[in-house]
Amino acid sequence: MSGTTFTNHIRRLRFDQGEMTQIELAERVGVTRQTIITLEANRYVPSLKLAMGVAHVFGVTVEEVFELSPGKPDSR
Amino acid sequence: MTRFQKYAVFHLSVTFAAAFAVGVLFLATGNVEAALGGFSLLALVGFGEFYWRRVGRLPLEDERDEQIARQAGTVAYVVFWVCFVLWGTGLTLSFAESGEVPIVYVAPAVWVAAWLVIAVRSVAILTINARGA
Repeated sequence: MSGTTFTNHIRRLRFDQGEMTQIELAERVGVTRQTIITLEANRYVPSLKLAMGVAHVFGVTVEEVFELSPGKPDSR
Repeated sequence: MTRFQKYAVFHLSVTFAAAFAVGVLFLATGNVEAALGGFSLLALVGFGEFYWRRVGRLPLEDERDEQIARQAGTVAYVVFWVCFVLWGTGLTLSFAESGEVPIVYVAPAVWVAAWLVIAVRSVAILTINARGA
């Protein structure tokens, strides 16, 4: 979507969940650690399935993990 | 580094080895047909499948790897077709008068095409991984 920025709060949510490691999160949602790293760095836009999986692990809604806000145009 | 990146690095190493072998064979024999034997090293890419042995609980590849594979495949496909058309056009223009293309310009085409696709795809995988899918 043009003119928007896709960000997330995975790092903070991991911290809130007792310093959950990237590997632990990766195992629970079924992806590689590299994908979690790129997600946290806002360098990858996940599929709906993965986004819902991450939200489920943290016990929150998708909107509480991911955020689509006006800002720098998203080139992807 | 993910399995997918290691897989790409292995493929890229094989293409470098094959190119090196072709160069060495050509310098040693001075014969293009003999030098093409160096491309047989490309068969080693088959051993890249060993990177997909399952170790630990993490998946070997995920949706991001699949997305990168698709993008890298598209890049390799585009580069291949551009080179293929340029190669064909170049040969046609070069040998338009005689109408006969020497076999020495045709025989390496298949090997070079395979080498090019594997090399470009591997570089694309590593590049896309580095800059984010």
